[in-house]
Amino acid sequence: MLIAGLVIYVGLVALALLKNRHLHQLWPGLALPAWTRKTLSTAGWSLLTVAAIYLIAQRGVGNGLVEYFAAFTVAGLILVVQFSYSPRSVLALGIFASGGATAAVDDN
Amino acid sequence: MSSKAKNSERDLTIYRWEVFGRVLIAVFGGYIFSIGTALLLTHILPFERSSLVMTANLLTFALYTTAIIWVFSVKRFRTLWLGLAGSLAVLALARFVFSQVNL
Amino acid sequence: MKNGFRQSMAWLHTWTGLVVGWVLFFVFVTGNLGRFDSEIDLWMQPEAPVQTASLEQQIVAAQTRLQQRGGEWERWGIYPTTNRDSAFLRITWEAPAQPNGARGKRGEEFIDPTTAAPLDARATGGGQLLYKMHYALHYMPRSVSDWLIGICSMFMMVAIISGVITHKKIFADFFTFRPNKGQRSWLDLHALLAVLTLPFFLMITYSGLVFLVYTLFSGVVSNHYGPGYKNRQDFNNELAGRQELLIERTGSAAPLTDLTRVVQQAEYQWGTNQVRSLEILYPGDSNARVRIARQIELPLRSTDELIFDGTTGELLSEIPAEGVASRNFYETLLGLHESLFAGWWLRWLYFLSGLAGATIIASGLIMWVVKRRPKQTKQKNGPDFGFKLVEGLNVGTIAGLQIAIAAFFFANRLLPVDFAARANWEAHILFAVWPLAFLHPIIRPIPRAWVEQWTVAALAFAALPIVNAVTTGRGLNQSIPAADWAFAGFDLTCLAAAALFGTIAYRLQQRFKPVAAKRPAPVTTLAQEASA
Repeated sequence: MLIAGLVIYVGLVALALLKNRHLHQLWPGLALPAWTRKTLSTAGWSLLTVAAIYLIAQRGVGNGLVEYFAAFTVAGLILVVQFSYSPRSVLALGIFASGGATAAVDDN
Repeated sequence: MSSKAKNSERDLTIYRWEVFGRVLIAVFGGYIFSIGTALLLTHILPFERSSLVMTANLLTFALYTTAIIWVFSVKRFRTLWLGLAGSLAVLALARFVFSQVNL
Repeated sequence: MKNGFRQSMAWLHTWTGLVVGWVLFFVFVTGNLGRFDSEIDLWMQPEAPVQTASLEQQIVAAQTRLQQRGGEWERWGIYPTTNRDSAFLRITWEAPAQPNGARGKRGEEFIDPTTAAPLDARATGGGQLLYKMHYALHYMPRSVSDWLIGICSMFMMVAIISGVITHKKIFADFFTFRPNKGQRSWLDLHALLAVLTLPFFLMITYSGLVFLVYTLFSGVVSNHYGPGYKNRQDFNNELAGRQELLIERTGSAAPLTDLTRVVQQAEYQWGTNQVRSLEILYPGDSNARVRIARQIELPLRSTDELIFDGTTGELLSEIPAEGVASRNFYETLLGLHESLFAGWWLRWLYFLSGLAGATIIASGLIMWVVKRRPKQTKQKNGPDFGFKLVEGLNVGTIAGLQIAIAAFFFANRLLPVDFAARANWEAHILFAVWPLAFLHPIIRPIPRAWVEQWTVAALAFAALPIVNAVTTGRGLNQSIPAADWAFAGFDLTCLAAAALFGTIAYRLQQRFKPVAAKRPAPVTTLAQEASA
């Protein structure tokens, strides 16, 4: 569930950066070109979907969905606290989470 | 001046009665709608009895919530009377089908 | 209604939330504590011996104790300690259905498997009582509480749906929290927590309603099966495919078979540690049946079952966990609510969601006051009665309930162990302290009342682990090294609660301090300028 949580977190970060409100907390005044927005959007939703599929495959529909929503809630809460009090840490944690999830997937 | 004040006080009273009416129709009319629809489904759908009863059980609260939301979103009060009449009709239909089946 | 759909829904959301918000807060807090009911049971009976008896020993003790009761019974229940849900060996008994169709009277007790006698520990309602309060309230029959809780839950369901409809920027504001901006911040917190936990919230409310469907919409079942409890049981058995249980008692007595042999058959079929519970229908009658249920490992609450003849011990039928789709949906929905399948970390996540739920309700109630305070305080004759009522109820419920719950636990430790009625009196003390929390804001200014109650709550929860250590010798200094996680977890959670309440009290205290006391002296600067 931890791996799924990291994947969900990265997906949420991608989707959050589509909103100028959050993008400008990290890079003030930046305007994303259309292809970047498309990439972020696709990546974000894909990661959220992949995490769901992974958990359902691993733990069955019942347990899988429960863990998915639990991980989603925790990841979302962490992201909210970060955006409110320490936006820079989103970048740091996002990179760490991507690396961690990739390494864990490689291991399996 | 005084007629304006009297008007606005009258408006407030009308408003309060409207809210009261909507609450009554939502609570009681909504209940009639939910149990009527649920029962009707159990009588007209061709599935096994216990399974249908459980499905109906599960639907009741969704039906009730929808009815309540509807009562408070409809613009004109008189539309509510239509809804109430419709719900009573559904319940009557359910009872009718029940009595036919059990003859 | 109002001019627009969204405005009507906002109005509906405010009213449905406000009218029952305090009851729902109570339901959420007690229900959330019920997530750890077994652990709280253990903490509240500190002298109970560690449960190490084998399943066989427990079954023997249970059967012995149950058979000591003469007379005619509808069913018995045996719940051994084979899973987290049962802290101690529990037996239940139920009298035959009453003539008016209502369910027969039920009773239960925890017993010691080595003695087949009631557990030799202080009498208490335990965590089970807190959990029970969240669906049955207290001091009233189920027929009344079912309707009260049902009505409040319907209000909540409408509040959730109207809230979602009215939240125009549900995606734009998904991660938005703007602290220190007064009403704006309360709204952000309220909406953000509600959206993030929306699947949980929808599930817990809808499933909570479905738990009560047999009372609130009894017509659906009774239209097809007839009224009353027995007919409802027939419906349940028919739905689950338990044809073997669609029987009446014969009236002729026959001794109940040795239950350990029946359990042995179950373990042979399922493996060890798979037996969750036994239910014995018509014990002592020739038509007795024994139903053994398997452990719950999925959100699907129903599990494999084996039905045996109660007099011969012969296996009659096997019921699979999954049945028809509607039953599976029902059992999954309720299973998600009860979280019996959850391991310890998932249980903590459920607990966090419950905390979020309580915070959503609290922030909504507080936001209502904060939004109207400027206008209300400017009024010629002061604030309206309704406004002051809500302010007072907010303090007494959001902060006051915590104090009352702490009092409940204090009562458990401080009431004499041999006081016979102590189980009832623990609850009496909870409900005696709570009204004080409502009287307090009548005589104190509201900001002070908040600070004082949060402070009392913080001190109370900080003191609990100390009182525990002093009165039982099973304090943190003992439970942590012994890896006694029920006791350590309870005490540590008390300390965490104390820290949370203390922080709230401190922050409120800082906010309510008069501004003049904090300004730096400007005189120095002027003097410096003058001499420059």
